Amino acid sequence: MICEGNLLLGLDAYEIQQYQQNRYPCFFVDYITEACPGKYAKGYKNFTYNEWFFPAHFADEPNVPGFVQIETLTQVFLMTFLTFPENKGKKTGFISVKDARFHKKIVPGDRLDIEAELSFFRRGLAKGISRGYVKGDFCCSAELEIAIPEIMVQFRPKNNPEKIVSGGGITTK
Amino acid sequence: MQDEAFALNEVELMRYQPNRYPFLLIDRVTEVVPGKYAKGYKNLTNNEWWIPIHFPGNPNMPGCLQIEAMAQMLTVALTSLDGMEGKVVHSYKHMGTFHREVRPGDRLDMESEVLSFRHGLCKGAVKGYVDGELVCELETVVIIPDIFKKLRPKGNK
Repeated sequence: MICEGNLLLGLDAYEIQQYQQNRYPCFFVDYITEACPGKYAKGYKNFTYNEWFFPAHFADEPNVPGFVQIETLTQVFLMTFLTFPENKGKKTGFISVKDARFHKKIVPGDRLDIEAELSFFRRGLAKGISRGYVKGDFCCSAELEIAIPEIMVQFRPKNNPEKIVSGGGITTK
Repeated sequence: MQDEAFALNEVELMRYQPNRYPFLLIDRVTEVVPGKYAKGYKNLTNNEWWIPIHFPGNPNMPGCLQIEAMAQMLTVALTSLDGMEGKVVHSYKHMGTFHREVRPGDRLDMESEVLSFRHGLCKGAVKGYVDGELVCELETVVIIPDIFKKLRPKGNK
């Protein structure tokens, strides 16, 4: 893929947190190797036994819960449109998750490499697909629709003022 | 004594290692020969308990935990011996050297070597690498109190 805009390379934990507001213990991306605003992002997360969900899921067979995989796919996907200068550091919310698929069990010690593509971004609504791989093997994917409520609310239809723009529990009146 | 090398995943590792969450600082043991050496790694990620506090804005793995991770890797080489499964190991003396920061997103590869093991006292050396680069070293003496205490002279407590 060719990036025409301002390509960002090698974002570490601190720099990623300048772009998105997810924080410990719900911060599921370690490193962004490449991010092209408006197009794609690539990054990874390491899984280690020293994470809060492993002792509970499951005690005799630790593996990564599906919701954590979706959240990891999403947090890399966020970097495709939060990297626009005007969106930097804004809060986001889910609109829909379609066709989430989990092909392989992920265990502590694995590294999940993620590639996210943005296909649509207008009026604070982003659509795209995000895929995860472990050692090159396809592991999980999801079609995502994510909103930036702060921007989306500006485009609320005037004839229906009662309608509430929501996303992931963030409600903007 | 077994001389063949074998690997351990997280579940198998917990048979030999009494440490548990949030203090089990090894993810996988790729190669261990009981009583001789152990090799393995720990993944580092932003979702670990020390990240928000050490330090805000510049997360890296605390030195004391690097020592602990390396000591745990040495422990695996001992507790995988016959009849030692899950025995508690105490530190006796550590000397650590840290060459550079270990950050979330890195994979800390560790190689431990048992230099001597007699009467429940073990001298060992461990090295930690990130992407093939040496980041930390440990010279250590650990004891297994179960064995060590039995052999201690009675008149000198």
